[in-house]
Amino acid sequence: MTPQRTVVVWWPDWPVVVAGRAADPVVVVANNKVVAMSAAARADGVRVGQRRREAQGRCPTAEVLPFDEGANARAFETVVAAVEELCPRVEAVRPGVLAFASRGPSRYFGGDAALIAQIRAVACDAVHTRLQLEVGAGPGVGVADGNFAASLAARAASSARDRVLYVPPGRSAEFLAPMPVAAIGDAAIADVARRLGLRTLGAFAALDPSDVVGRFGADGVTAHRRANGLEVRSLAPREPPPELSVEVVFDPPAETVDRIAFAARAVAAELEEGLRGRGLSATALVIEVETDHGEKRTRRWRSEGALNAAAVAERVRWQAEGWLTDVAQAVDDDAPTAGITLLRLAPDEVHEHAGTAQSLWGGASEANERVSRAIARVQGMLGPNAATTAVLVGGRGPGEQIQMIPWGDSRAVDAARANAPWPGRVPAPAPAMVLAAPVPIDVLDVSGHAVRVSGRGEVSAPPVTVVGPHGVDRVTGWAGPWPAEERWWDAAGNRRRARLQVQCESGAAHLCLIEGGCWFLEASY
Amino acid sequence: MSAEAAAELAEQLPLEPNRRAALRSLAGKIPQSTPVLASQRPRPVGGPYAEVFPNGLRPGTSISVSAAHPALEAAALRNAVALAAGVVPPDGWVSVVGVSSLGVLAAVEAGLALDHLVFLEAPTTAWGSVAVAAVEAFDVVVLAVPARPRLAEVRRLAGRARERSTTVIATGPGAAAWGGEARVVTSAVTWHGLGDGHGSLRSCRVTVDLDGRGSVRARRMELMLGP
Repeated sequence: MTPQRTVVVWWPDWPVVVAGRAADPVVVVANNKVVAMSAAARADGVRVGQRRREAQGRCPTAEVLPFDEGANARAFETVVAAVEELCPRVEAVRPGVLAFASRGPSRYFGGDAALIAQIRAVACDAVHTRLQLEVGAGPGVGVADGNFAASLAARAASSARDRVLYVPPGRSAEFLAPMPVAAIGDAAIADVARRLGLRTLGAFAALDPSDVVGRFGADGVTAHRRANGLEVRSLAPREPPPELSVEVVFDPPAETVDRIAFAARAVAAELEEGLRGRGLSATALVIEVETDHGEKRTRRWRSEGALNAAAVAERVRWQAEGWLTDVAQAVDDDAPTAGITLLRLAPDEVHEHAGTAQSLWGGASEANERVSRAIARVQGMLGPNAATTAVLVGGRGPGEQIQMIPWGDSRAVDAARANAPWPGRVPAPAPAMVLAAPVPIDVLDVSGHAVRVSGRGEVSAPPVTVVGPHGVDRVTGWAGPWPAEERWWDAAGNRRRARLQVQCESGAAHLCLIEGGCWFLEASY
Repeated sequence: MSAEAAAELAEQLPLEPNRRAALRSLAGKIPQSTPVLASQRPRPVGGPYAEVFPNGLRPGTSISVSAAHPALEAAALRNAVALAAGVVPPDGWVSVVGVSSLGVLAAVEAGLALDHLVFLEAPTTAWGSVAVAAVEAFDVVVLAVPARPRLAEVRRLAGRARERSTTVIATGPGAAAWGGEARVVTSAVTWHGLGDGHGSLRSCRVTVDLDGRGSVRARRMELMLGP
């Protein structure tokens, strides 16, 4: 069975377009890795996935911009809405990429060429007039049999001269054959295939299907069918039974993205659970919201692989960003005019799930799930910040070296900062008790005067007594000071501090901090 | 029925000699110890607490860790963390409930894995519900007990912990009220490595008073904490 003709619109370097800087050399960076760059930076050899420093080395004139996921999703929602006025059932794949079946619209507009010209004009117009951004070279449009081939065609088109790549019906396999095997979209299979000497999709497609299933399992069959330009499953997608859709009611209406995203995490897990109970997984999903004024908005999202709970929650977040910012700005007549009262997630296309099953004896996955459920319960009771995990981020003080992250958020950290040397850091062991806010104390010398620390990092006299929250304590040993002068180049953020370790007669050992001539108890050992 | 009870019964009951002998031989066939589920068997304790619990600890045990006076609170917290790191199974999950002042770096140094360590807030009004949620899901729970906990609530929590094989380490102002199978009271601390204006804190020797039920003998011990 040949897959349906699909049009994919791929806006290259969407984050750069959103930043409004397509003409300059710029690099967009998330978590220290390049995620997008302008044409000028690409010409200098900057590539996606490079480290920020390497990119700066290749293109020293480039300006580094942080990646703003919310802004990307918001802006793209405008483009999807504009394209949807021309043809129905437009599917957002991710910010910058959308897809739709071409059969109906193509006939209406008089052929694929006319349709593509229309779509490009509408998309560029949306970016230019509604978003007031530079269009640049515009999006690449690919037309082919099936979503996979059309995506690759669109990507290839974005570097072609007229930015359109039309693969004739029935010729998708031919088009895919010379592509590198890494395009298959499954890193593990691509890696093995490369090591087996299969360097192109054509070589992988030429394997016997029974060999592929023997070596790579169900995922391998999916990848093999894709490489052959075939529909991912030979069976037609199953119509999902209606009770699989899940919904959450907001009372009072939700007006912040955070509230919706938080609720979405729970219902997305419920949706996944419901699907998995029937041995299914969703590849397309309809997100639907209703506002307080009775307006309804829906958007269809598609993914190449199965949508798991985290991916669903992420898409709801993107969608909410797009819709709710419209409420605030009221730029669009189409925008909802009130807070959101109902969120419904409905699987639109489901497949039999051949993925991982839970191990028979519970084991690690069961324990992890139990813990996730308990944490969700606590977060539901007290809010998302009530359950946190810690990551090491680097710094001088014992409290500065860690960062608490609400459970469920990404634990990614800036590795360069975490592993950097921090001169002025007090050596290990770390204190067992770190006060949330330092408590004022007195550190006195033998004559009863407060001990001072000079600009050269010397104490005025040895400390003899500490007057702290537990009363007066005699000092039996001390060391330091460890001076920490932070951001001396920055008048507003500049801080000069010094730390002292003291050991007291009571057995307590403290980390004391002096700043601006005042002593504080920062931590106890 | 245990082997000893059966043997005793064989001597006490008014029986004919041959029947008594038969009963005696049957009593000898009863295994000396009743079989225990693998998940209920004591697990060895690692780190400095290995010498405190040489026979290991059964999952589901509650231990209270407190300080003899307020200046030693930090040392008690260090003890609690060392004990948690000692009892947590490989890949096990640890939660810290209501201990807002715990030094996370010290927990890492003691050997706890940050990606399996979760901090839960527990305001007084919701303390019971948060504690129950944690006890039902995690392998080890470091629990700050409020100053005057409701005894019924404490008993219910300890029962849930036994049932779910969760090791609870009770700290905070109400740790003494918690009771538990073992009580560890930090009574003195000596730090090494600090001179008069030179050096830096390196390791500490804590004196703990141990008390408890069952196999735990009341005694005083000295433990080295830190590298």
